[in-house]
Amino acid sequence: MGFAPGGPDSVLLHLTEDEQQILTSLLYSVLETLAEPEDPEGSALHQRWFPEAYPDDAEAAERFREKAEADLMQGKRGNAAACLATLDAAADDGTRALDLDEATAWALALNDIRLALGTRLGVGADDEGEPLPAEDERDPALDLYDWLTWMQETLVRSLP
Amino acid sequence: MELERPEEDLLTQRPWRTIVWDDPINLMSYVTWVFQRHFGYPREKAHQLMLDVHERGKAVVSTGSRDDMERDVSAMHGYGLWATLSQDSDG
Repeated sequence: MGFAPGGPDSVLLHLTEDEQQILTSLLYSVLETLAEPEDPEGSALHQRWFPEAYPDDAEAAERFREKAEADLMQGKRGNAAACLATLDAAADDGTRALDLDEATAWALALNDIRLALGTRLGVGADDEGEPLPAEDERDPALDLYDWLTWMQETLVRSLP
Repeated sequence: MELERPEEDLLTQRPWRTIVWDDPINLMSYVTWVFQRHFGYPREKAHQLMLDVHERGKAVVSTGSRDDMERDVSAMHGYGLWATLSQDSDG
């Protein structure tokens, strides 16, 4: 289950009930984190969701942040809300044809979720060559992260 | 006529650059799609820029006035990419 090409202007979403529940809960936690950040400013997630535009110029960075951060936050909120609306509107069998705006909202919202989870799990470029931990030692959140990666990959491939 | 052009530009005439940095979380296919979608780059150019980011650690994805580059950086942040702007030649 996941995303599939739907035509020149659409992408098909098809989720099991379990998948819908997991994604609903992840999207709500994005909204909650945006409303009441658990981490103080300067946390790894805050730095990743709201990167410094001027790493070598604190004054310009602050000015940029004042201008841009509210819009950025509003964008993330809007994407998560748009995804939740498509889940609500999905047919009983868990399918829904997404228009391009909805599919784009999903691509961005899945990215925000993966940034949050990946930052928490400490996903790093150096992990690529390392052997995977044995099944029973593996953090279940890693499986969730891998599934979200696969979901986002199939979505990007399905975009017209 | 650009009356509010930043004074740095007037003094140096050096363009500003939008730089995207490598990130272990963002997918290669997604980054390519973002470059195509936001900048309107052809697939091949977007793919090459993504490879530059991935293999060299960063890439200059657009150049221009400071205001325009701030808009591009904001847009990249909206997509979840790690972007900065700079006027230095080496970024």
